[in-house]
Amino acid sequence: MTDELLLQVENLEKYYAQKRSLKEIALRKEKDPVQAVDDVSMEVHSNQSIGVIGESGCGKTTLLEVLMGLEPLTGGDVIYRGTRMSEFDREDWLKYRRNVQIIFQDPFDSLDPKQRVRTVLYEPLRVHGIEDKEQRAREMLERVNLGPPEQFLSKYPPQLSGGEKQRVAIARALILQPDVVLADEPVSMLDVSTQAAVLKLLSHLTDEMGVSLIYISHDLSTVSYVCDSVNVMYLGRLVEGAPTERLINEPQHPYTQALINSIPIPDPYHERETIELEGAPREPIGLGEGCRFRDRCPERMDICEKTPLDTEISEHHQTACHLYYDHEDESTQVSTGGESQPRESVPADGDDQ
Amino acid sequence: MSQPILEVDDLTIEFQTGESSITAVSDASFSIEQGEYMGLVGESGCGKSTIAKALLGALDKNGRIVSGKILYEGEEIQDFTEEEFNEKIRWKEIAMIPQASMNSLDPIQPISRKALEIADAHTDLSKSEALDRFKEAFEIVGLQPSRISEYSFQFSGGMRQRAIIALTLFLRPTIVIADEPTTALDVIMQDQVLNYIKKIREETNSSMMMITHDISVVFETCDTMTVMHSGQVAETGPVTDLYDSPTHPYLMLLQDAFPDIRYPNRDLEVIDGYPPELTDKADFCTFVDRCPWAVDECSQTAPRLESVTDRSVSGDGSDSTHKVACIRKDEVPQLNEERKRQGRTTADGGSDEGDLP
Ligand SMILES: Nc1ncnc2c1ncn2[C@@H]1O[C@H](COP(=O)(O)OP(=O)(O)OP(=O)(O)O)[C@@H](O)[C@H]1O
Ligand SMILES: Nc1ncnc2c1ncn2[C@@H]1O[C@H](COP(=O)(O)OP(=O)(O)O)[C@@H](O)[C@H]1O
Ligand code: SF4
Ligand code: SF4
Ligand SMILES: [Mg+2]
Ligand SMILES: [Mg+2]
Repeated sequence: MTDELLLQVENLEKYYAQKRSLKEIALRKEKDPVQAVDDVSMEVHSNQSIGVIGESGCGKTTLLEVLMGLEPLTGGDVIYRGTRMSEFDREDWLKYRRNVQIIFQDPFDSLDPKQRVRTVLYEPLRVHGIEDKEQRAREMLERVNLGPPEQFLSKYPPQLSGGEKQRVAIARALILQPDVVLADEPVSMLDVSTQAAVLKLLSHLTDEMGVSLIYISHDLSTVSYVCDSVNVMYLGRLVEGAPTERLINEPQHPYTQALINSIPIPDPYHERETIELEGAPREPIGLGEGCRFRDRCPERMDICEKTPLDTEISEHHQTACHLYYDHEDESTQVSTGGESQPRESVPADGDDQ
Repeated sequence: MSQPILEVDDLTIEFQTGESSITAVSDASFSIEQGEYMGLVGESGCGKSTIAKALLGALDKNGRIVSGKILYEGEEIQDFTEEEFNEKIRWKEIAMIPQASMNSLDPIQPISRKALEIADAHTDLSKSEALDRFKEAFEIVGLQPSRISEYSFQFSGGMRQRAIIALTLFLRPTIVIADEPTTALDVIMQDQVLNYIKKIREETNSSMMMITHDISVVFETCDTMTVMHSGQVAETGPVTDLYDSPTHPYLMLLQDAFPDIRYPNRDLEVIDGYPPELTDKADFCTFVDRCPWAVDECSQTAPRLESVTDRSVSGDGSDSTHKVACIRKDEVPQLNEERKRQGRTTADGGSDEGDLP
């Protein structure tokens, strides 16, 4: 299969202006913005599935919303097959919307209860002027194991179980045969047995249809079933990225280590060493210079008051932490803050088993 | 072993919905010892929350206990009145962290006021002692102690959930019922809460009934577990017994459906089909439509909970606390082995699994 560069996320930034009170407006008092996504760089190649993990509020959903064009970016850029989002014209947007699709977290929210499955699946085809709707809709339903298709086409979302709804959402995302699918916690609302089925389906279909996937979640254990590589996000920034198994077995950034150690293991004999992380991340406001994890980091040093740069620690494995680079010429390294290298995402190392 | 602190005995609970009725819990039995942590596991809708509410006399208005008993310290409480539950049970003896409780806080009073009210009604702690305990609880669930006097609307959803957990735990009741206490939280928050739950157990002698669909949480924090499927108890016993020798087909499949970060390439099991909707007490095995080993007899009678025999451990097993409700309990482990072996051979020839290339 050819390896094409589909999406480049380049120093992407999304700041939200904080609401000001009337008084503050009258006094022309500025408020610091919410730094939801800050200087995030990554690449998506064809046939890749990339995970982005991090705790609540770290900016995952915001990242996807910007990638979808649902929220305007405030800095950096997204480049789709060579064209910059900041310079998209109407036609570029249409093409982009056709080729980049999304699956939302909550299947109960994301489907209109008054629209039959048929309407849900026909809509994207209609928008993009595609004929043979019936044929495509049936095929897609079969692919997501909702058979017989005629039975499901005429159903309304309230008549479907959570897992079935999420399959419909997957069918809707894949029906235009997009290049990239973005998925926001696609299984977190589902039961364990349904969860396994949806994870398998997602992993299988993206492979089979040659669709690339960005999968975001706070839970690495579900991500690891689907993704070849994983990026870790903390307070708007990517702090580590590596092929999935490498990240699980050799996490380098102290935050990644804590995140992995916080996952319970379904084995009563397993003694998990918990690195108890205190508290919660700060509000992403007025973050300033320095490692954003430093207030919770067990390894923190004086140098951590400066922003750590992304460092390649081995092939395809990078992290942004002062533990991992040479501070000899730190003055030149640290001051560049906003110019991290794009993360190269990689296909899986192959089957390690 | 002494008398269990809580015993649920052949409990059947029904909801009236218009003309018809739904049986949410069907002849369920299990028990919890003093100081024991029990996990109640099963998929959405299987009756977990219904049991929890029944223990507190707090079933929804259209619900009623049709038959069976609930014994708290040996006393039957299933027929208690509202007053009796208030006076003798709630908060002090059994306290519950309700499911989806994020929105259950009163928006017009500071959270600390609620804590003081509860402490005042059920303990003789001084005001400052109560607040200190509440602050401590706040801290460990990841909230700043200085924020105890804020209003719930000042908190995000996740923070509200944590405030409620602190509220339920700070009086250290004899039994804590936690209904999906960490489901709405991310893994780090969950870890902090679980650490707190473990800490409580080190410092007090309270028992816990932890309701969740996440078996890894149960394996990590509980001594025993009870697995339900569609209103029926499928299997119950010490977690290590259920882990080592799962005997009910549902539990076997469930274990293999569960993601384990240690084995990201393992094939996940899929449990096909759906649980039946019960209009009456089930007189059949509710897993029959989904069970790979179902036989005719499974739909003719509801299997009774019986001790698991035929295990390597000592004795004849008749006094074992590991119990299962499956008429083929003695054959199923063997059948599962065979199935797995076959599964593996077909998988080599290209299964429906879309795993790594
Ligand atoms: N419209 C908005 N206006 C202001 N701030 C916002 C807005 N949307 C998000 N934020 C803030 O940006 C940060 C990132 O939020 P985001 O929803 O992307 O987090 P997330 O990683 O998806 O979290 P979760 O795991 O809880 O879904 C948070 O601090 C959030 O409060
Ligand atoms: N007030 C009610 N009226 C009618 N049916 C109810 C009511 N509460 C729960 N049920 C039904 O009872 C069954 C068990 O529900 P519940 O105990 O909430 O399940 P769980 O907590 O295991 O997810 C479900 O079929 C549910 O729809
Ligand atoms: S840069 Fe410093 S504070 Fe940040 S993760 Fe590394 S050691 Fe910890
Ligand atoms: S009683 Fe029958 S249907 Fe039920 S679990 Fe056992 S074998 Fe399966
Ligand atoms: Mg989100
Ligand atoms: Mg429930």
